[in-house]
Amino acid sequence: MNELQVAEDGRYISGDVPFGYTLWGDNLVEVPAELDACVTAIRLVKQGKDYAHIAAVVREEHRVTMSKAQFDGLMLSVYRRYGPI
Amino acid sequence: MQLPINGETIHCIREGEGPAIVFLHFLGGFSYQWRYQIAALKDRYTCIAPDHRGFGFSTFNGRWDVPTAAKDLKAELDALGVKKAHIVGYSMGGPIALVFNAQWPERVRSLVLIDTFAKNHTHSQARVEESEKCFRYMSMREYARQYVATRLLPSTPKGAVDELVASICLASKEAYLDVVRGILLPDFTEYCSKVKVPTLVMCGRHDKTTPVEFTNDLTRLIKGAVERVIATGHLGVFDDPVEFNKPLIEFLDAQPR
Repeated sequence: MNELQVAEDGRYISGDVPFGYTLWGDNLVEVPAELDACVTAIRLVKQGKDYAHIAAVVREEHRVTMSKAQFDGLMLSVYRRYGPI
Repeated sequence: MQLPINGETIHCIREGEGPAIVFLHFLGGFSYQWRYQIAALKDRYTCIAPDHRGFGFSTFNGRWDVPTAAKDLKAELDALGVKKAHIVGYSMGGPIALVFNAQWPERVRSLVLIDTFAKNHTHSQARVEESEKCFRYMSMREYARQYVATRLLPSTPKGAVDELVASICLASKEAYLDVVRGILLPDFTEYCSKVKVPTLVMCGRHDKTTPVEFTNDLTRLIKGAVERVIATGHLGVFDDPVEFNKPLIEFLDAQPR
């Protein structure tokens, strides 16, 4: 995993683009279906579900593919921001 | 009502008659989230609920830290002509209540500290840094949606989820980050020994933000504090307002009028 680096003004510098965003020039642009999938994934983690289950649910409900690395990156950021779920 | 306070315009609700209760909301909340408590208490108390600077319908022209928030509270009570009040501090409201009590103990009838802490020892520096980074590219709405997904219980009604997201979106990013820094990094332990009034410390059993151990710390540090653990998460006011109200109202009604 390559840690995301973002400038003070929000411009992308380097690292993995977070799930829920895509790179447009040097800006991170929201991908609504992926952001909805993020919320679903967090809720399911809170319910004790594992990655395989969560990946299947977001594929079914949001029509997006969330890789294990993307899932891990999301959960790491969520844990850092908000503490234990 | 709008109160001109320390360079800000503070939005404040005042309802009812009787001894004053001041409700200090959690991070991302505002006075509206106290409506169930105000409805249950306004027939016998004066219920006062300000929006902290930068939250709800209050302005944010300066900066936020706990001593400033305590000064805002003092000025709000002065402006409203309230000499003494029960102070109810929810999460971020807890440190404000502790610092206010230490500086102006003659203004405090009792304290209620809800899902809060004297020192937050859950990777605080990392939480501050990650929040600062995310706020550079995330909208407030997405930050709020992900936060709410981590904090409300699976059983919490959908309407409450949407309300909390909308509430957080009223806050400015600058104010939100000031609070994250202002409450997660300092240690408020020294203020606990200054508490000489009846104190209720309550917490949700499923609270992962400020877990029960933080409440145990407060109970140990505040002489004579009463502890109540209820069947909610960090935001019990959304998870189950009825369960949330029981210990709060019981405690307040047991105080001398």
